[in-house]
Amino acid sequence: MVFSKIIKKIFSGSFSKYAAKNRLQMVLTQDRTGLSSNDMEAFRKDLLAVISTYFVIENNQLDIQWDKKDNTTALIINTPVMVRTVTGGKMKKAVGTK
Amino acid sequence: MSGRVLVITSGKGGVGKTTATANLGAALALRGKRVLVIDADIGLRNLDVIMGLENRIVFNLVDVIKGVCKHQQAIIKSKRSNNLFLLPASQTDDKNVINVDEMRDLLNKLKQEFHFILVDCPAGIEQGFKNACAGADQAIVVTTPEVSSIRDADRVIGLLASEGIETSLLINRVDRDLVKQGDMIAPQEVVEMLGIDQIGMIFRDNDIVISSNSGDPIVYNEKSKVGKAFLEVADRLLGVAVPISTNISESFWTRLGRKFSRAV
Repeated sequence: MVFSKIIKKIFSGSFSKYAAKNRLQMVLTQDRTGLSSNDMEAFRKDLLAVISTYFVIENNQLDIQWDKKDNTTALIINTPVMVRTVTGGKMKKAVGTK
Repeated sequence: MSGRVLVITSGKGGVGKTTATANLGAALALRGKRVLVIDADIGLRNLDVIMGLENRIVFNLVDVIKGVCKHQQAIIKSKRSNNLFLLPASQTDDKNVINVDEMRDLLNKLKQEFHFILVDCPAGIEQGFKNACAGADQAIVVTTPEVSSIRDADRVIGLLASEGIETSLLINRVDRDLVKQGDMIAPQEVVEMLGIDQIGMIFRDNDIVISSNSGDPIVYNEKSKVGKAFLEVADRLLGVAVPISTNISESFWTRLGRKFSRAV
């Protein structure tokens, strides 16, 4: 490919394979789990609520993935967590008080 | 002799199942194996055309299963090889005229006469798919690097896994230029997303169109790179460890040659 074309692509952000991959990831997750996009959003919200009961996390940084290997499907939830928990390490009490 | 039954399937139509079946069959025959290819796409047969045998059909798969004729009467020898045979589909019936048990019984019988039986599966996941997968020891799922095709492949892989059929992936119609410019999902990424073993990768090539026009599988064209890629897949099926290249670039000279041949 011509160099100028690459530069143009980088600045316009138009490598269409990333769009394809993201959309594919979405439909594969839906197909594999049988959850609709609404269900997925609800699942995401519930997960966020549960995790933030224990840890301080950034809201938009929850990455949910289904990984398929050798006939098993693994649910991988990836999120950056602040080292300190919400209650400074007293997690069990936090459940009681909430 | 107890042969291996392979089903070639994809979920989505038009991704190259029939072409792959014809070429893998021809490639295995070239390697000295006795091979039968079966067209399981009842009502929409095409494997005969891809192999250039459309004028030789007398009986078909449904005739054999319904006892109208013996399988020896329906099976046609290919023009190119004494090792390659075709059992064509019926063009007038539909997929529901045969069932899974009938198909399995037939395959168990035919296994005694061939090293390999390749079943060309129809698109979809209904009765035709179930019939084609009945009795398969192994499956090859064909996909192109496109969202719709990969999605359907994933669905089919799930169904095959629930049947306990060992499955591997053939990525078809990879376009070098599109992959390089970031407009096509790379083969390696397809493998990662689907999470199964890869058995091969076939580049998009005009030679395929030409070979289907003349009804002569591309593996017989010794100059063709696609033909060579199919032969490599056949070798992998035979247990030879041929590495799958992850490199999508061509050498300078190949590129130059391609540009030149396009110009003339």
